[in-house]
This record gives sequence, C-alpha cells and structure tokens, in this order.
Amino acid sequence: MSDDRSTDESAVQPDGGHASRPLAEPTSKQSTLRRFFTRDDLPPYGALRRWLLTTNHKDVGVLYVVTALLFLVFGGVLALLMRIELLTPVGDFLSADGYNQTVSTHGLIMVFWFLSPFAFGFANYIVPLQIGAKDLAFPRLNALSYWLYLFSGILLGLSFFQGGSFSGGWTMYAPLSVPNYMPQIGSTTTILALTLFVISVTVSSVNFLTTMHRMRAPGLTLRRMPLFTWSILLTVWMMLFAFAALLAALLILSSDRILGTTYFTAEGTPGSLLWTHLFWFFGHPEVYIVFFPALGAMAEMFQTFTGRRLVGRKWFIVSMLLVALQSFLVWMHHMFLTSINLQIKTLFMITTIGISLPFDLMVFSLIYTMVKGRLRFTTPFLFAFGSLFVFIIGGITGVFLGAVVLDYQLRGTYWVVAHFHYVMVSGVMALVGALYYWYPKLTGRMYNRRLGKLSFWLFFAGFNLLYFPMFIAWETPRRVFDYPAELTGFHQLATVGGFLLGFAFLLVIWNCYRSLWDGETVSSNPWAHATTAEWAIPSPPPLENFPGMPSYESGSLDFLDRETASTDGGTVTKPTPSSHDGHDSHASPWPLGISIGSFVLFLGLSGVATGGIYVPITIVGGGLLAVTLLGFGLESFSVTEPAVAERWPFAGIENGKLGVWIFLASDIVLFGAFVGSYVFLRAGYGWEAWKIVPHNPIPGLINTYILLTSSFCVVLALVAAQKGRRWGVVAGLTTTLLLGIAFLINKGIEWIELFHHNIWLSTDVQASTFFLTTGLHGLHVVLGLVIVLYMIPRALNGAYLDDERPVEYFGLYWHFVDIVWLFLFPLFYIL
Amino acid sequence: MANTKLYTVIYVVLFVFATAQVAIEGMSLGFELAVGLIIGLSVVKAVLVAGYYQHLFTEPRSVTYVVLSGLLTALALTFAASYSIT
Amino acid sequence: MSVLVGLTVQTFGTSAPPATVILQGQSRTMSEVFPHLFSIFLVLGTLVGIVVLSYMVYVAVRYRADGETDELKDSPQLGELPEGGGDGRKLAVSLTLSAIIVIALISYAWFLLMGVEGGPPEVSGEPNSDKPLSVTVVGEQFAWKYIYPNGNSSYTLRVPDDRPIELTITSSDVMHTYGIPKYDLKTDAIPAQNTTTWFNPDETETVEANCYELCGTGHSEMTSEVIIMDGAEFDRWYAQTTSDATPTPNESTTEGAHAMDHPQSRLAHNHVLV
Repeated sequence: MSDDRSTDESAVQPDGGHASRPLAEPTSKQSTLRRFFTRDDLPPYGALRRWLLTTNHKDVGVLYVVTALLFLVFGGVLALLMRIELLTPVGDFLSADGYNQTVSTHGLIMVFWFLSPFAFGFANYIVPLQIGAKDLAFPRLNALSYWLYLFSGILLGLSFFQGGSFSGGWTMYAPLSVPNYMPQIGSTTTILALTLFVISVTVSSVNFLTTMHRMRAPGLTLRRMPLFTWSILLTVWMMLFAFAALLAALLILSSDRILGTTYFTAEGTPGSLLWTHLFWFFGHPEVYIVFFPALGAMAEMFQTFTGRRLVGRKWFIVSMLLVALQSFLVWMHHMFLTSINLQIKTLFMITTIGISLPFDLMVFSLIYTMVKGRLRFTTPFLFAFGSLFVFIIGGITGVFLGAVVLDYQLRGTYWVVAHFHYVMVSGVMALVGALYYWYPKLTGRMYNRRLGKLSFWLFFAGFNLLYFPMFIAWETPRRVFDYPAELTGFHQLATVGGFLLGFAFLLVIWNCYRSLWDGETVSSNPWAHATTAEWAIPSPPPLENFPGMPSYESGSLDFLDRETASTDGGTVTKPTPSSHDGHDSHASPWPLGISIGSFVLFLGLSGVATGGIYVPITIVGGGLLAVTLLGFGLESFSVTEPAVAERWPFAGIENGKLGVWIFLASDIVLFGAFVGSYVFLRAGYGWEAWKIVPHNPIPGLINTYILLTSSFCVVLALVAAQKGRRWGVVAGLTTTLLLGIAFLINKGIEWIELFHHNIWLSTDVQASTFFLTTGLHGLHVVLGLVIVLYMIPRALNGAYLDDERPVEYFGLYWHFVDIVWLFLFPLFYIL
Repeated sequence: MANTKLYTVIYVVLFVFATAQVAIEGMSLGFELAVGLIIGLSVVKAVLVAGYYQHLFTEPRSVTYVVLSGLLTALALTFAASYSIT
Repeated sequence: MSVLVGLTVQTFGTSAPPATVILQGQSRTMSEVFPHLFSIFLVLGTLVGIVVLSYMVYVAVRYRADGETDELKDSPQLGELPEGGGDGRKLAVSLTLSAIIVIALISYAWFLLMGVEGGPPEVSGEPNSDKPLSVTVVGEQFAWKYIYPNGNSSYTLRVPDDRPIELTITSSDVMHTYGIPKYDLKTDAIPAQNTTTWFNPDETETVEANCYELCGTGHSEMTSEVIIMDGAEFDRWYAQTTSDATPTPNESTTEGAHAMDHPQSRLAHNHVLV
C-alpha cells in the first residue's frame, strides 16, 4: 500500500518527486509492444488497448461482469458433468477422482470466481455513480484487482493440466489437502490461485472502503446511501476481515504443501480442526459476502418496480449491519459434528438463530413494499421477485440446520446441498435481475424484453426442478456419485432441471450480447420511479460521469458547476500525456503487468519444490513482478480527490492514509490468525508440554532492540522531512535499511543454528509454527526494506521535503511490523 | 507533532520493557504471573508505538476503531477456537 | 410443498414415537429424536412457507400495474435522498411472530439435544445385558475399522440388539464422517480427536454405514456393513474373538464365515453397492 502514493490526493499533490522522474515517452526506436502499452489518451471502446489499459471504474466494472459470466459458464459445465454422472446411481461417467475434481472446482469457481466478482462488476460500475464519485479512490489498484482476479482464474484453469486439479471439495478440509493424500502439483496450483484471488479481494476491499467512506457527494450521509451501496459497504467490510483469515489458512496450507511444515498433520494436535476453524471463520461471513450485494440489488429493484419506497428502510439497514457483525460469531455451526464441546455448540446455536432473525425482517420489508404499489413485472423485477421467492424457501430450510440435533443428521447430505443452492442461486437470480436492470445504463440499449421474460421463466423452472428434488432425496450423501437406487428418479429430475437452468443462463448471455446491436436505444432513465443518481446521467455515462459536482445538500440531487478548488490547491499537478482535460489519468499498463508477473511467479511456486522447469519460471515471475511494481511506483498518475465530500467518520485523514490503515487492519487479522493458530495448536497439545524452539531468547531480544531502534529511526526521518532536512530523511531511512538488514542477518544466523541442530520446518509442529510465523514476519520486514530501498534515492533528490506523507505511510507499515514482533517475541521465545 | 524528545523517551521505555520481559522469564515467578506480566508489557509497548509513533492518539478516533475491530476479529477467532477444544 | 408433507407423514409419521414418549426420561437416541423433530420442523416449515409465499404471490397479483398510467401519489422521484416507506409496525409484528416460532423451535431442539448428548442411560442393576457395548470406529481411506473392547478388530460392525452401543470415532488419516442412516446417527472422524455417539439397536438386521465427508478417491464407496445380532448369539460370537487377529485390509476378518473383504477391494469390481 505504502508505495501507492501517486493515486491519492493529487488535487493538492506536489507529486512526491514523481515529476522528477517522468515516464519515458515512446520514441520511434522503442518497440511496438512498448508503444502499445504506453499510456495515451484512453482509446475508444472498440480498441483492445482500452480494455488492457483502462483504470476507469465503469470499464473495470464491465470487465468484471463479462469475466464473471465466462467463469459461470466454466463452473456451469462442471455442474452439468456432475448432473450427468448422477443420472444413474452408480459411477459410470466420470472417474472417481475426476468426479471429486469436478465437485471441488465447481464449488470454488462458483463461490469465488463467479458470484462475488459478478456482484463486484456492478459494485464497480454503480457504487461510484450512486455516491457521486468520479472514480474509485485508487483507480490503478482497482484495475490491479481485476487483472489479479482474471489471472488467478487462469491459474486455476491451468491446474487441470498439472496432474489434476484440487479434489478435496471447496471447503478444502485438511489433512486431505496435504501432499501425503493429494500429491498433484495441480492441487498446489489451485491453492495458490485462490491465494492470488484473495490478494485481489484485499486490494479491492481497501479501495472500496476508502472510496465509500471518503468520496460521497455533499449531503449524502451514510444513512442516506442507496441500499445497493449500503449492501456493498457492509460486504466490503466483511471481506476485509474474512478474507484475511482465509489468506492465513491458504498461506499455511501452501506452506504445508511446498515448504513441508506440519500444521495440519502434526501428531497429537488437532491440525484438521485448525483448518475447519480458519476456513469457516472466513466461510460463514463469505455466505453473506456473496449474498449481500444481491440483497441490495433486490431492494433497489423492488423500490423501482413497485413505485414505493422500501418499508422500514432504516430497519433494513440495521438488520444488514447486525448480520455483518454477527457473521463473525457463527462459524462453528459448520462444526457441530466435530469434537468441539457442548457449551460452545450451544453458544453458536444461539448466535446462529440470532443471525436468522434480521433476515426475516428484510424479507418482510421487501414483501410489504409491494403492498399498495404499482408492480411492473419487467424482466429485472421478475428475477428479483423470483429470487425472494426461492430465498424464503432457502431460509426456512436453513433453520432446520440451525437446530443442532437436526444438523447432526442433515449434515453431509443433499439437504445441505439443496439449502445452500436455494440461498446462493437465489442470490444469482437477483444478480441476473441486476444485470437486466442496469443493462440499459451500461450499454445505452434495452435488452430484448420477450427473450428476457422467457429467460426468467426457464430460469425459475430450471432452478426449482434442479434443487427441489434434492430436498426430497436429502438422504443422498454429499459429494458421492454412488447413491441409493430408490432416489434415482429425483436425481434424474434434478439433472433435467440442471440443463434447463444452464440453457436459461445461455439465453440471458445471448440476450445481452445480441442487444448490444439490436436493442433499442434508451434515455438516461428507462425505468420510471428509479431514484438513484446513476439514472440521472446519460446511458452509458461519460468518462467522468457527471455534468457537474453532484450534491444532495438541497435535499435532492443537483449538479453544481464543476468544482474548481480541487484542481489547483496551490500546486498544479504536472500535466501528463494521459490527462483527459488536464486532470485525471484513466489508463495504466502496470496493473496488467503486475498481474502477469504474479501469475508467472505463482505458477512457478506451484511446482518449485519439485525443481525442474518450475525454478526458472519462479525466477522469471519474480523478476517480472519486481520490474512491474517499480514501473507502477514510478508512474505519474493523477487523480483528483473531490474538494468537498461527505467523509464521516474519516473526515480528518486523507485517502492514502486511510487506505494504509485499512490495509493494516486486514494485516492484523492475518497475523492474528497465525498467532491464533499457534495458540490453538499449543492449547490442543498442552500449553506447558509444548517446547519453545529457540534455544535461548537472546537473539530474539537483540532483534527486538534492532526493530525498536529502526522504528525510532523512521520516526526521526519523518520529523526531518517535516522540518525540511533532506539529509535527516536520508540518514533516517538508510539507518532503517541497515537495521532491517541486521535483523534479517541475525534471524538468518539463528535459523542456520537451528538447522544445524537438525531442527527444520518439517521437524515437528513446534518448529513449524515457529519458522512459519516468524518467517511471515520476516517477509514483512523484507517487503518494508524493498520500499525503503526505493525511497532512499528519491529522498536524496529531496522528494519528501515538501510532502512527507510517503515517509509517514511507510512508517505506519514499519511500526506495525514492529508491533507484531513485540508479540511474536514473547510468544515464541519466552513463554 | 514533531516532538523528538517525546519520541526519544518512548524509545528508551520500549527498550527497557523489552529487557524486562526477558528478565521476568529468568526470575522464576509463577508461570501465570510471568505470562501476565510479559504479555502485559507487550501490550503497553504496542500501545506506545501505535499511539505515538503511528500517531493514533492524535488521529481521528475512528482510525483507532478500525484497528481495534481488526484486533477484536483476531481475538474472537483465537479465543473461541481455543475454548472449543474438548 | 405438499409433496414434502406427504413424504413426512409417509416416512416418519408412523415410525416416529409420540411426543409424550420423547418428553419422558433424559436419555434419548438420535433415532428417537430426529424423526420426531424433523417432522415438526417440516410441518411447521411447510406451513410458514406456504403462508408467506402465498401472501407474496397474492400481493403481487393484487397490486400489479394494469397498464393504465395511473400514477401513485407520492411516488419516489429521481434524485431524491432515499427514505423509507411507512408500515414499521406491520414489520415489527411480523418479525416478532417469526422470532417466536424460530426461537420456540430451536429451544425445543436444544432440550432434545441434551438428551442425545447425555449418552446411554445409566445401567440399572443388571450386570450384563444393559451395560453398553463400547466400540471404537477408525476411519481410514476408504474403510471403517471397528475395534472391540477385547482388542478384536474387524471391518464389519457386529452389535447385539439388547443393549445400547457406544461408539468412539476417530480417524487414522484424513477427516471422514461416520454415519448409520438407519439409526440417524452421524459424527465426524477426525485424526487425533475422538468423538462419541450412541444408539439402541432394536431388531436383528443388516444396515449400512456411510462416509459423509469428502475423503478422497474412494469416498463414494466408503461404506461398511452393520450387522445387528440377537444378544445371546452376539455374546457367543464375541466370546470366540481374540485380540491378536487384526485384519489387514486385503485379508478377510476374524469372523470366519461372516468374513467381508476390505471395502477398498470392492472398488475394483465396479459398483456393486446397490
């Protein structure tokens, strides 16, 4: 985060030294490739370059939607393969391992690569419009999120060609997921692909949170935000913390697979329970992360097509807020059959019931909104209505699972499969409605209405034909192809429904595709009674969205004369070739570059333990990543921050700093999950029986001194920058660099000493937790040093004297790394 | 904000506390007392660094709440998971 | 929905013990509790579902726009700041109603859970026949191994029909979930952890145990036989088993005539399960 200085506050940004190192302009000597990727004015929609370079939120939104639909087709084909297999009660179509891979990848794709990104396509496009922002706070990071998402999906696809993809279910239960039981390189690739996806999500979360908290049009307080935006805000907060826990789980799993640590297989510790805790701690909030955007879109469509304001709007928002908070306190209801104790089962049963009640309220709120309305059954409303209809069934059947006794028996059966598909695909149904709803806004054309209605009825029929028989055939164990013969009829019905649903999806996609040419052109607001700001501007909206500064201060939306305060707050940003009208940049090649670099690096890492071709791939990927990150850092990219905006509760700090803090909050959860894993394993092992790995605490103490001193140096560097002392800044940063290197050398000596005593990462669980947790911390130190190394030459040029914020942001990160060590030291060296 | 003297005092305090943590371990107090003291010292150190070096004491309080919510999330996971062990 | 109700009555209506039986005594097996509770949930759930969904459809039909251009008074305008419609009281009443139903149901379910978690009833005097039989179940890719108190082990579970059976379940490799659908019994098999469950066999028959957690290639076929024998016959059989005859996956078990191959070997001969 801390190297993303160029995207914030450039309204008043003296450019932190960027101006002194302008990006080289293409010359005739440079290659065509170079010219292709060099920023220029944003090319038109028809040009491939536009889609590769764009950082505009609307373009990125469209990219998300289209890519998500491609993954839907991928995941859908896998689902149909399963349904074909299940036509008969014996395994006769796919191999056993093939079936497991199909089940697993179907789940992973639909949950991660389809549902959330599909919703976030709309979030990207619509949320800035609804809150009156010209773009997200960090447009390049937004493009980076998209490209990381796309390449993580490609990596997932590649896993099939590496001896087989992951075959342990989307829940990835350990220890089935470790190489003893799943040796294929492709399984490692799947886990790394998901890791890359999580990185994309984290970047995106930071971006959305900063945007939504700091860039709302004047008068648009949080309470007044449209419901879709509200649902996205809460979704993103959940994502920030939940995905950090998943990242911890995935890093540990990758380490178990690649480095040979033994978290999940250690003798005498509940390693497999550790996975279930980490996974479901993420996994339950994930249910709402996936569903909330659909709920928000549903609320918008209900208001528009009933012509009534949402009944109990305030309580609807309060309900969502409660659910978002409580979603972090229900995860063990996925673990009722494990060895967790009865007290905690009872506790989690109570929290689970608690979380179901706000949903009752939201459902009633939507239903009562229809009363006394004028319901127009357009295609979007049909989908929204249908979605609510099946969601109610999904909700009722979910109450069954909340009762522990029933869960004991229903768990692991098709009851669960049917229930969560009723909920999740209800969300999909609402999002398909959202696609139809916003299609005219995105494209400027209307979809084919008859085809739209046909697609709904096929969808609705296919859906129920597919999933309802699963309730009746609930005694079928999950994830088997070999089920009791008397249930064959129900499974055959489901297969027919599956194909019908698949056909309905294709019809939706076809309709959207054809209507790009055939659809009648529409005005800015094709739906009567739509209230939100996106309908007040042309379809599709112009690059910078609004004809003036949006404001709600008069009580309703006005466009004031374009703000002038933001463009020249004393210092003028260096005009860049890409500046649209002297202000904002909308294109950058580096997000794509960084993503390709990460992709190659992760591909290499998947097989690096086996050596061979994977080693050079890893090196190439690492190099590519370094170069592209540098390019990203050096690029001059300007974004204007609105001069006036609603910013509660973060009015007092600027976008960049808020972004850093939000990122650090997720990093706290990441480290917290590592420390939590350590505490959990140690508690399960016997706290005092656990032996501390380092032979004596002195090297650790020395490293504590070193880190404290380096933190102090960063503080001094900041003070020097504030006072305009160039050499003070250089000296502070250089000392920090040297101390950081000393920290790593000291740690290296300590590790080599331990290796010398034949204590390796794989020796036992004590050694695994020690090396991996302090190793993750060491990696943070390395990252910090890379940033310092980048900053020192710039400091020499006097970069931070008139704007010390980069030094401050770096300090925030570095002190955080220091604080983490303050806890790791006693936990791993003393206690 | 640029208060070098304050920063220096805090640095010295941090240094002393770190040393004290190792000393406490050597003093053969009761295990629980030692754990309490050592973790307690870590917490104090963390608050000092976050409060002064990261300026949380002078930033808007909402930033502190963001940090605390991350911390609370991690603690919920740690304690509930460890408590659930039979 | 009515299909579901019909199914309930047909499947559980007759076999589920009446509520009075359920409410007496502390100790209950899952096969007493589950059908009873499941049918209550199913009937109530179906009723609530029908009421809510019918109301929803009714409202949709009743208030659909009829093509005329009659505008609602006070309809929302483009660009207005979002506000809520009225009807808060109706919302509160509905929420309270649904909360009462859900909380009542779950509380009752919790009360029943205590009976299941309590384990088999206390032994009342008679030394032999009512004393629960304890068997350890070990999940291994891809079979269930049963270890009896005398050390004898087998890949088929044989139990008497005249006393409660206590199962302690664990795994020697990955996570599995052990379940005997006939007795509504299910619990996870976790490496390095033990879970327990129990049941009361009531008739001599052979039923099947399944795996309910994806555990690898053989997951679909990880089943085993559970043979419920006459109590006296079981005692005779049990007396002649010994601890030293531990089966290996490719040999038959110590049971002689009742030998059953390790299920893994069945993977080779197609899918003979059903």
